[in-house]
Amino acid sequence: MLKLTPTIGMEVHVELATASKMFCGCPAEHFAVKPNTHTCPVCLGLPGALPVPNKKAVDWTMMIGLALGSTVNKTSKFDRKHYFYPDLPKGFQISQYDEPLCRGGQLALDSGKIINLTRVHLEEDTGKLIHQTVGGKRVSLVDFNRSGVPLVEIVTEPDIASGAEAKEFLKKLTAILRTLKVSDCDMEKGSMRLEANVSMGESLAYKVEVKNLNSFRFVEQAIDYELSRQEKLLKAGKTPRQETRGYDPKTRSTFVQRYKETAEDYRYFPEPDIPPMVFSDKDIAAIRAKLPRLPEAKAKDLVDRFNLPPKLASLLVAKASRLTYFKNSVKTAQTLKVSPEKLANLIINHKISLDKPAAEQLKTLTQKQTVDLGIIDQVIKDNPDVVAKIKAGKSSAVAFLVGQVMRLTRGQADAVAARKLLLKRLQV
Amino acid sequence: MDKTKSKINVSHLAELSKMTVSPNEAAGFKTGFEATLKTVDKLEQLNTKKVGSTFQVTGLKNVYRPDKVDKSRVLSQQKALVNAKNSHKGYFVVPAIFDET
Amino acid sequence: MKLNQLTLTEALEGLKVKKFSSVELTLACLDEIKRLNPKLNAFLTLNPDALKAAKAADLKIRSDGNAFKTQPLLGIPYALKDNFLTAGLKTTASSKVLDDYIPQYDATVYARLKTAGTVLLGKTNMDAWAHGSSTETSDYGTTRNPWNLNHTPGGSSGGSAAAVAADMCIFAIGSETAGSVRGPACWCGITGLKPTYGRVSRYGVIAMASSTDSPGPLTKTVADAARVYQVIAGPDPFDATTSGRPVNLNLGHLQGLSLKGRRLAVPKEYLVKEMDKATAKLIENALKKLEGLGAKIDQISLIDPHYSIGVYTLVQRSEVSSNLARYDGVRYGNDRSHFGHEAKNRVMLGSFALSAGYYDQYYNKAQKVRTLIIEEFKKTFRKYDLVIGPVTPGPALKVGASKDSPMFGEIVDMLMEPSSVAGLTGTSVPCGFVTGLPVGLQITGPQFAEGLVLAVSAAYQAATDWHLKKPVTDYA
Repeated sequence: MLKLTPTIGMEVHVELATASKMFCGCPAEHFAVKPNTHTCPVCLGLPGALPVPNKKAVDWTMMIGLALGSTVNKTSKFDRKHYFYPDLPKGFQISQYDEPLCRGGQLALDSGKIINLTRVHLEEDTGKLIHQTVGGKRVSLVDFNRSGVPLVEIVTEPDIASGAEAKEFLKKLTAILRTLKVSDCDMEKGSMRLEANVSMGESLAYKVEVKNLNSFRFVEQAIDYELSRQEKLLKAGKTPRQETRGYDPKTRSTFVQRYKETAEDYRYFPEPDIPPMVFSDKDIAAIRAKLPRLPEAKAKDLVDRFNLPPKLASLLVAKASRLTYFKNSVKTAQTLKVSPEKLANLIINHKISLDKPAAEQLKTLTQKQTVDLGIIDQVIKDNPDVVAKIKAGKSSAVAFLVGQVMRLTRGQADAVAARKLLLKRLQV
Repeated sequence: MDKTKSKINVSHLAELSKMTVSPNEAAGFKTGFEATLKTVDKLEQLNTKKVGSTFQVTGLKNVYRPDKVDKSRVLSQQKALVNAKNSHKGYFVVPAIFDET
Repeated sequence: MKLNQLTLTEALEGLKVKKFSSVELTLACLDEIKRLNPKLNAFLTLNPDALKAAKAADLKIRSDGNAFKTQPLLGIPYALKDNFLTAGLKTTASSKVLDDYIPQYDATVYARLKTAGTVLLGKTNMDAWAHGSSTETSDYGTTRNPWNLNHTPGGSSGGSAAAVAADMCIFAIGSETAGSVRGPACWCGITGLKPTYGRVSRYGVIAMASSTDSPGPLTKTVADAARVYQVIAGPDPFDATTSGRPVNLNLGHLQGLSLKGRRLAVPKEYLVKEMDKATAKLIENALKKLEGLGAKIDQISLIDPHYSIGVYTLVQRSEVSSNLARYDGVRYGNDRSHFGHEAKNRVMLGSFALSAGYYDQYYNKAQKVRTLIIEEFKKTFRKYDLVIGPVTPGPALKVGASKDSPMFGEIVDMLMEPSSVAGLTGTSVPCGFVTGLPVGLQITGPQFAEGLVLAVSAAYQAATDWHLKKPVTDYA
């Protein structure tokens, strides 16, 4: 009997928000910038140009690794990764091969499941290709503004088991990176990109790479689609072909983008133009000291102080504005008899505006809570057959009565309170 | 037994290096590479078990630049494109690449 | 004596006392270029602004009494190998791939020479991409040896060496990956200095082997080489492999250094089986001369340089295959179909040495043997000041001798490959003639020992007159 285990690993690429590029002093900014205006001999790959690494990018990569529980390698270096492509000006990418800046690490999901990381390394980004028709001919236009921007690659072990887990992993990773202020992690702008390697088991010796996903939602959908596609094939006795696939949100399915007979031979060798890097315990401690409080720590703090359910705490810390608002209004809320958990829920569900002070908004909401008992009795009186159903055991039918309360109060009543009161009244 | 013979595949190397090699040239290259490998294979005679590889002779470590924009080297769009045989509205032009990566 | 026949030191003297002007000096060189280049093919491109620069230099000399303090090479016309980028002036590395390439930025070496007040005469011919030891792989025809037009000047800086030997310029700049400055200096009867790797910035030099490329001067005397070295050497923030050490060369110390008690080592393995007998005799004479000056010479044993051929071939060709990957004709130059035969040869072999399954056996093995060579030199320099020996196994080869030899360059350079892969510094200084062709003596020191290397080279030169000989250039 074929054992099928959804096995997903991800490679996440994150553009660092440094002022200058990875190996030269060009501005790293490239979004909505006129093409080929932020280039120099180095990032344009001109003859004779040489790379000099950006210290901040190196420091930030170590910071990211430490925040993710990785070990910073005491010795590290850059390597050349060779392949030909129009957006790769030197014909090789300066990346890291066998001595990345960080190795290992992990990220815990809400369920407690640990997603292990293989490594965190630093490399340079490529230029951008735009496909167009010019003068009746199909061409690709190349813009090197993005060439040379520092890119951190975070690689997970194949520990992820579903689209949902992948999405959660990405959300938590993004929260950490945003807290570190090293990247805006915007999948639509492309400052965060990823590939998911999907298979139904490592022992089956194949994996399908899914790319060009520009939202967490699509990541989840694409992975789930892939898993079911692969399962169907395997159950029919076929092995899915090793290939690269894209995702079409309209049809909610993946499609083949590229199929390669053989793996690419990158001919890695140590970058001769850049001396290796060596870090002392002191150096690493100095980076660690710069780490701000991370989302996990902040969430735990909320759980401990305010007894918030962990999932709610995670959602609250994911956005700085939410967390600040919560902290500033939790006392006021308590005086108005609104529990921290309730306040958190209101914030998460957008029932409260973060632009206005809490006091006023909460007062209005708590007023809503006192549902007129008269209305409760009215609704009970008006719907005897529904009441009978409820008393007969179909407690779910109370929802209809709640709806009636809402109708009569023109939506002003607190539905949760109304339900409680109804059930109390009916003594069920 | 000439162990180097099976290693050299000129058309594969030409593809890997994106070099154009005519069928005429290929045979010449193959012979040349095999002769070259015969010379370099002599390195096997030296015992290197106890030494590491030297990739850089300077002994330098940790050479960086600060994260600052250096306007002095930034090329204007015109300068960036002036040597391209094919450009269009500020972009370099290449024949259409059909697979998206 | 014509002005173009002056040494750098003599030319500076003359300019300082206003015996002649930079314009006169430059015109003398340009005239000689006009006369000789059709036969020698040393220059590929002339600088249309040369006289303009000379005029500006003369203005400076006339108006500023301290001009030479801030611009130590003010008004001196020189030639630059065509792998150094010169903004606005065609730069080809002698390859059709860059046939029409006009750079948009300057190599650091070129910028520093400009700041020092020099006058660029033009760009010189070389083996295409520096792949060679005879200048024969140039896509623009070979350069001829001024001593005998049927022979090559050596390579890859053959054009620069020929230009200096034939007095078409006052000095020239070349680059050495392994033998490309010292080799042509040897075959053209002039002085060549290969600085320590990392001493002179590679920024703006079309890369060959990133881990050994060393820009260096080709000059008429050792004192000239020291002056040029002083200007071009030093840290560059655009090149991460340059040393931060300040350049502390004292030109005064170069004169009259006593060789008494200096311990010099001659590796017996460098007297290779390929050595020409007459050349070996000249080297022997040179060693006797050094002993006569007080030096203590010992014969030592070093790893056979034949092994260095393997190390250098693998490391260099691997790095070459990588460095030439950027030439795709998209952003500049012509597409890859324009590469010449030797470039294809080296790139493919290099790709092979780096490829999956072969990296350990080839590239990595070579880098391990490299360590052995380095360690051996370190040991040697603990006991000895310098290593002395021949530069090449014999004088300049005939044009065409390199044909059908898949490793021609690497074999000719075998005696310079060990010091090159170790990143050391060394000179080639003229030490005699074989059948009318010059031969040189190799004087090598540890990293950053340019001062001692130049001083000992100067002492040898002061006691000999080989460097004063000039070729007869009334070619038919």
